[in-house]
Amino acid sequence: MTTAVSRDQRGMPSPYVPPDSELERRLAQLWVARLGVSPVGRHDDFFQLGGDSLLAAELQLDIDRALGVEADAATLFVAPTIAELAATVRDLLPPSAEPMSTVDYPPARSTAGAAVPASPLADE
Amino acid sequence: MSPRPAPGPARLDPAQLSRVDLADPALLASDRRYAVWDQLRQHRPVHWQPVPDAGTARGFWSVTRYRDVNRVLADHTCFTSERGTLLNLLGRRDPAAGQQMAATDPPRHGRMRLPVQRAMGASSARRYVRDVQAGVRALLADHTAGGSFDAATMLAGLPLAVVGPLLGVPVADWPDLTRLAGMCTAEDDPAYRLPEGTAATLRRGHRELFAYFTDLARQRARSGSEDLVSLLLRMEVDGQPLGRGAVVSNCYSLLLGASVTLPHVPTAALAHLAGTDRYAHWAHRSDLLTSGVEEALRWASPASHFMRVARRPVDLSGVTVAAGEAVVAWLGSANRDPAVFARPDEFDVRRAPNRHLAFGAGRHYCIGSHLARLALRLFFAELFATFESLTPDGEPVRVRSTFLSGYQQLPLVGRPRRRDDR
Ligand code: HEM
Repeated sequence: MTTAVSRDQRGMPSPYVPPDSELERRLAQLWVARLGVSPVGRHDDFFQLGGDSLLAAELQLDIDRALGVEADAATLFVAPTIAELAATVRDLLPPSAEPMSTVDYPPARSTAGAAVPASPLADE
Repeated sequence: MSPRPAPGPARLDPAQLSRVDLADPALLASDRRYAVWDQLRQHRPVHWQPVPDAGTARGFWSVTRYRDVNRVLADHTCFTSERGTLLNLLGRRDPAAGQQMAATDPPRHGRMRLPVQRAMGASSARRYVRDVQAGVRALLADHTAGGSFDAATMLAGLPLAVVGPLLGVPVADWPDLTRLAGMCTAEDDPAYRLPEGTAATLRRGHRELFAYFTDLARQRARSGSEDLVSLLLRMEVDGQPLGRGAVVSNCYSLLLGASVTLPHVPTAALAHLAGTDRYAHWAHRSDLLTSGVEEALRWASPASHFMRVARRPVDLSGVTVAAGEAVVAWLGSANRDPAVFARPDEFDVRRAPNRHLAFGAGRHYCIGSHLARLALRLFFAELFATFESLTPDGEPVRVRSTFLSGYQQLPLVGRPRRRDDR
């Protein structure tokens, strides 16, 4: 990962609203790893944070692998915020929320100082 | 230089050349462009146009002579494709650089292109004859009874008849992809424009296409098959598989490469031939199908320009282009250069030789050219078998674009050929 620049350096128009669930935090981590921008708020737009369509396709694959679900890519490309993505992904997760895939799970990386639990949905 | 064509009414005063705006879609969408190119070829073959707000660029050079266009497109040691290949990317970073074939320089370009080329080359193109034939018949099926129709609307379906089978896209998705490709390439066209405006239309079309191919790639990664998406997923370049972004971006580029260009070869040819006896002349000569298609390609030159950026100082027709400066090669102008084509403003279905640059030149020479030629020959053959004559049925409307030359609307009336004539 490249050194993260702050979202303010990107001149983000929307105010920073932190992710508000483990799933959102998990998604935000994946964004940070792809974009090299930190922190990522739940209403930030992937493309305004410097993402492009090629990166979005890579990120979709990161999300598939990290969460073990295959959400329609339309959410990421057309409604590209953490909050929207989490809503789409949540509908696809098994109700028990437990068995998150561990395939290719990237090392947990903290964005806001909080340690990230191995099972992102443990407290949802 | 060979003799100039007779001066037409659209002659341009050479003194006005410094004010010509080649980034103006209205100029490129009118026949006035031929007069402008003509004067540029004669008086300013290497022409600088300043652009006030073009990111890191201060403007761009234009080359209009066949020789220079050929050189700029083909000389990858002096010119890079990694800093934008279209005017609308002037001075901006191209996210596809090094990932999408068209935006990648040798040697990486060759390693990316070779496997894809095998799947799209002459012998592979033959595998698609049946599919493309069926697609072409389906386009004309609604019009076999004759009457009036919009040829541009009908031809919008032609690219999917080629790219659909190539990428293994289900037929049910073809209309959607045709619409999305239209949003990406004819954002000004009322048929595609969203109420939010042209910029929103472009963005939306682009994002939805990427989303579509992201889903398709994921599905093919799970259960591979013989189509090109699966091939891109399996491919390794320099020992590394292509990233998912590169796979998706190449699918996008294949679809758009076909969509922006293919329909406009027949539309430009028919806009010129309809209502004249030249249509019937060509239609009756199946031996001229191949040379006529080449002439239609030269005539239409659907891709008006491609851009490169100089890697080092380069001399072009006596003008030195500095390193880092953008050069726009006007294919449409090269294909009307009287130094290479006798009577360039005449549509001559027998023209030979016909070394047009409609498919570009050098390493980036259109990878879809075999499929494009196949589709065009099948289309014209089917058209000639369907209509005895075609006449204009109202004013055609041109596409407004600096890149794309073609028609948004081309209303025609067709007189069906009697069965026993076939
Ligand atoms: C009449 C139809 C077509 C025309 C006039 C046309 C024109 C061109 C031109 C001028 C280039 C060179 C670009 C450059 O030098 O930067 C090119 C490249 C390309 N075309 Fe086409 N094209 C046509 C059809 C197609 C079709 C049917 C496909 C796909 C199925 C396609 C896919 C591509 C791709 C992927 C490239 C990039 C190749 C590379 O960079 O190595 N084109 N085309």
